[in-house]
Amino acid sequence: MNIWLVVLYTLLGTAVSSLVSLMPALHIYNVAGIIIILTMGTGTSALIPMEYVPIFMMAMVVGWAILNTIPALFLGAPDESAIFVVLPGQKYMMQGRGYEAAALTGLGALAGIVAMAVATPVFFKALPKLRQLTRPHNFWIMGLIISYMLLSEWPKGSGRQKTGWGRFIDGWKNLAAGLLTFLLSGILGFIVLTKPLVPIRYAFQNIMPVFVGLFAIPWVIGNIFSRTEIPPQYVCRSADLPTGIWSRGGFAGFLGGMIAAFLPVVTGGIGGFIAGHVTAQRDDRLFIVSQGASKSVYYIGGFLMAFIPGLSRTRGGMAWMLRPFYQPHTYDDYWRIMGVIMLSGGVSFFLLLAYSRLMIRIINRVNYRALSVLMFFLLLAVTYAIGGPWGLALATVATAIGLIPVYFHSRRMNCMGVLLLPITLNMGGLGPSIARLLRLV
Amino acid sequence: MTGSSVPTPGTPRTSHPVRDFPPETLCPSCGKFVGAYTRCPYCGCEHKHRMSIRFFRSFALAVSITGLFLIWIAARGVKAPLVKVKDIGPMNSFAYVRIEGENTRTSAYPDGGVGFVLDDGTGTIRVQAYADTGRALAAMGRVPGPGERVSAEGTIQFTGERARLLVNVPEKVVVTRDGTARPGAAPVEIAEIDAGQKGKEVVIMGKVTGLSNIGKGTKMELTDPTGTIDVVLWDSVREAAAPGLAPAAGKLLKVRGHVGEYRGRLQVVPRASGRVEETSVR
Repeated sequence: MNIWLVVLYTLLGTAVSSLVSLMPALHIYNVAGIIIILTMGTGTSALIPMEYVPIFMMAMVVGWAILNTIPALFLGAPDESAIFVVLPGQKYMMQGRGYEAAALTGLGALAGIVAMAVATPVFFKALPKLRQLTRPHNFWIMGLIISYMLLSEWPKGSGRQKTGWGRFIDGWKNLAAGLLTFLLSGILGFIVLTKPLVPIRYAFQNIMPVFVGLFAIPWVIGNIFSRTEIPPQYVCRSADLPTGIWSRGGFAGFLGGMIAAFLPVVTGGIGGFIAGHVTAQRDDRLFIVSQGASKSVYYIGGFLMAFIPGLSRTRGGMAWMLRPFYQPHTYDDYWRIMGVIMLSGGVSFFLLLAYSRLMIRIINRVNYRALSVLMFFLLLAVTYAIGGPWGLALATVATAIGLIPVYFHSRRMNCMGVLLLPITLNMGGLGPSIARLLRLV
Repeated sequence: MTGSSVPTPGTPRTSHPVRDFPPETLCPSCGKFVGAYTRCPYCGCEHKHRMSIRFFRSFALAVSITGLFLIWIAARGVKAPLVKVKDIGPMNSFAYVRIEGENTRTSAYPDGGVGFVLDDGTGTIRVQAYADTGRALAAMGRVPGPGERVSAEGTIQFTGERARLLVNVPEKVVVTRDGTARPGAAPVEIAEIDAGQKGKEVVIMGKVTGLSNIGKGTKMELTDPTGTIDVVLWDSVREAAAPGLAPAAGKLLKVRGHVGEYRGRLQVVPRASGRVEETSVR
């Protein structure tokens, strides 16, 4: 394998992801799916030589994991894994410190990458054994995670209603909305995974319309109807981040990202959320750093699992999409891809700073509402191209489900029920019984 | 300015001042008093042209529940498409399809899982059922034997360049045991057996001209004056189909089994219901 071509495709993948990252609501996995259809639809890679496709894809994932912070912070359009960055991040934005928040997230992502490189011996030795150990117990581990996720969203409400029942309903409304979101998205996921409605020619993307509906379109709709103005932002020359906070945040994020990367279906948002509770984070800076690390370890580490010899693990959308075409086997494959991660991570961090400065300059000049409308129609077009009329129908229903947490102020993370519920049921051997109950078989 | 006031200590609080202002004078986003302003001086939101949140809430609830119901109704009616093995590619990973063909090999795993290889005439694909489904298949008598015709519905999974069909629901494996020859049927000449008879049961008679062990069975080369064909006797059916038989070169055998194909060669595979016996009649 030519080293210069490795560098070239690493930079190319990072560049592509940097452009995708600036588009609100466009997910790298959707773009990767389109690239796979375009380049490998015939079974042979037409645009990129097959051996360089994993390098290109990994660079895209790394670039996305770091640069995706920009729309999440500046345009309020996070993907599922970045939801928690937005809360303290928006506080920074409203204080004119958006650039600093972006830098903290990027530093967290770098901490995550460094931690993954350092943890390589653990990956080689411990993860295959850990997988053997946990495999028979995945069902109840997943059940615990779901329970924790649902139970930790305690009743809210303003407490300003006049009657006791009024306050009760006000308090439990959000919780009920969260449970409803989890249930509806779970049933939708079960239907789609049991009886895919997407044409079989693009079946490997059969969950894509649902994800677009649950996560992308609700945010685009929010952007279209939002009239929030961003206060002037200050481009600082240093970040308020002591080494201790950076390392603690990086460790917590690494822990959360690894939980997400290792366990089936668990995403970076859920992993980061659990790790945040485990490490009892109180500091906004620590929180932002840890979420940056968690997001990068989830996306990059999940894909990296496929390259660990002897682990035989497929985690994350990119690994699943690439698995039919390519399977790494050797330690050389692992070290090469680790080099790609480091190179792409470094380049992406500098791009993050540059793009953040650019975004601050243009944020109040560009009509993001018009851009969001454009994105809305682009998402519909891509969904139709892959899923046909059924894809649009699925995306519509998923959008309605995705709007419930937005307008009832519950966690959007509950939309992950779309995978958590059916896959956990299948792990427990209950899938066929539920399918019969729903008369799907 | 919020419109609220601090109550005098000791004075019972009878009303909240903010709630006493007409709703149109309060910011619909932050709730503070804005009077006649059309843009809130506190949070900056505009009051005109606002979309009702109640509308989106109702929309989200109505469309999600109704839409999910309709998707469920539609999914119930969708039949898994019948596909040919040669048409399956990596893009079809995760597709739920039906494949019909002849089973060429059955494997059982210690944990109860079952696998078999289907040949539909255009290629072969491995069909796999994990432990729970495998045990259910065995209990329902749906584990196909070699040579039997099978219709299997499941999800295509691609790993590297290999495709497999993962069966989750045991009812979706249907084994067709038709084309059975009558026990007393007259033998046919080996030369008469062709690919069109695959899956059908035939009776042949001939001399053993070759013998080899093939892992979980015995392969015999059976020759009559018109030709030669392989007979595969699996250990799993030997007790039922060939009790007490000790195959040896030169023996004359009468075989009732199903016509199958392996690596382009036709073969006769007796099942548990078939028969392999020594005979002296030519």
